[in-house]
Amino acid sequence: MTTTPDFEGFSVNLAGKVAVVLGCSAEGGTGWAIAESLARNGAKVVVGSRSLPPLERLADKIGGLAVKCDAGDESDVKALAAAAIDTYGRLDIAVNSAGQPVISLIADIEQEQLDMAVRVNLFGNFYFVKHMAAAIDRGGIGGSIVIISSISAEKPILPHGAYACAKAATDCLVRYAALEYGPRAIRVNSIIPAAIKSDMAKEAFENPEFEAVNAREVPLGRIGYPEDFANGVLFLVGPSYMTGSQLQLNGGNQLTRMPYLSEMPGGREAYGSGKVLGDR
Amino acid sequence: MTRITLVAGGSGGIGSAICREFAAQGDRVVFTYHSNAAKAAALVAELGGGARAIGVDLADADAVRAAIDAIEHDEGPIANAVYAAGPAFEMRYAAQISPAEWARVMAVDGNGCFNLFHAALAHMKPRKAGNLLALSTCALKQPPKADLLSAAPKAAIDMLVKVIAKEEGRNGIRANTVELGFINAGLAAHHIAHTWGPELVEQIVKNTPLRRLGEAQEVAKAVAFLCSDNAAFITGQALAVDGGAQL
Repeated sequence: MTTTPDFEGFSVNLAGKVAVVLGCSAEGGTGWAIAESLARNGAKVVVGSRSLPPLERLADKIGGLAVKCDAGDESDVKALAAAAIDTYGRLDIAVNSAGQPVISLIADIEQEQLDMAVRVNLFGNFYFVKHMAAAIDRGGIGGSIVIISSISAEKPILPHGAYACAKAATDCLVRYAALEYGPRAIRVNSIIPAAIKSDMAKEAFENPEFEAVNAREVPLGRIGYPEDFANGVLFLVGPSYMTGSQLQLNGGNQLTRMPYLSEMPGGREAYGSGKVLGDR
Repeated sequence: MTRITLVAGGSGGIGSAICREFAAQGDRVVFTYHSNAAKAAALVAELGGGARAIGVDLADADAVRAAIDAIEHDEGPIANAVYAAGPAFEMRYAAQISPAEWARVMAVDGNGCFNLFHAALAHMKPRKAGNLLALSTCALKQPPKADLLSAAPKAAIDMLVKVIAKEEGRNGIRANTVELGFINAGLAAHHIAHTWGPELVEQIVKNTPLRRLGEAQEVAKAVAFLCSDNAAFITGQALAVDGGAQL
């Protein structure tokens, strides 16, 4: 069993900066923690997600703006960027933490699931980079875009293949974006998480064995917490000479492997139940 | 208690920026230098806060061990060991490198980093805490012409760091590298000023997505982040700080 680490407050001066965080309606989730930490460090934060009521609670808490946004809908993403400009006059930082889990083995996969996998996890990131970069570019001084990708793109986690392939394509997108937007000082980097103890995976973590199985493969001996990612984002959005980089934020899990389906508690049974098998 | 950070190669252009960053965070900085005692003394005076410089040949495993034992004995536990050293060398194609030059560079750089981390681990492992960090090169992702003497030992260091990260994570030890692009400091600054000429520098900038050279302080910030508790869940990372040059 692993214990929750103590997180010290990471401080970066973001006073006067405006940030967008997409995919943050789950309290205790990664996006939520990222939005809170950006606000705590002085940024005005526009938060977006499909579900408005929790988002409004977050916006109230951090003194930001809530905008209903489907990450897989280009006009919504465009409107999210416009909301930042209209309300705060600029955009400096944009973080996409939205993800759509799709669970199926290749043998069982349906067209509808393939479409769902790429809609948010790949196309959504294209929309995000395209419209956030355009909004950041209006300021003429550059800025920073961070995409939350997934270790599943490099290390297979059955049965998340369709999700993982969309994330792998997103890693490719990050490299193209770095090249395209670098000359305008808009930096594009990604964070690679493995298992995260977050709200999205609450059900899976009800079984303590689930955490233990995931942590077993991690050299640092524990799984990720939303605060780990908030700290990683704070580092990436500060002034830096980094673009097109991947921040492996997974305790060294990138050097090992992910648990096999057969090792997961109730893995075989859970598969096919439609339940989320974790968050990564 | 004041945190102690050891920077090997601390008197160099990038190393000294790293020393300044850790000192600014309140660490007591101990750094090693090889030949330039006057420069080292000036940096000690600048850093203050109990900073100390130790002249040591990193390729000499016994000397490195003795130096680290002495720091642990005199100053206290080393929290961070940063490898920022690297030998000077001429840029040549592989066909033009003599076997003796190859052996020298591998010994000074590859063995030097191993000697440092090996000696530091002897102290860090029993107390289950410590950070190891090595400067590396973005050339590992895009093999360069005429820069093999820089890249080859860094490839060995990259594997060393990843294996230590995997082996010692459970012992509370993190190990990471920062892969540098063209930084306007240290060896690259020497080449920019003396050997490369403005046209080549212009070409380098044009080939870098961020369209500029990096600053030593930007490297230092990344090193300090990876050694901080804010990066407590990051190990085995090869972090490119290269303006996108790896692409």
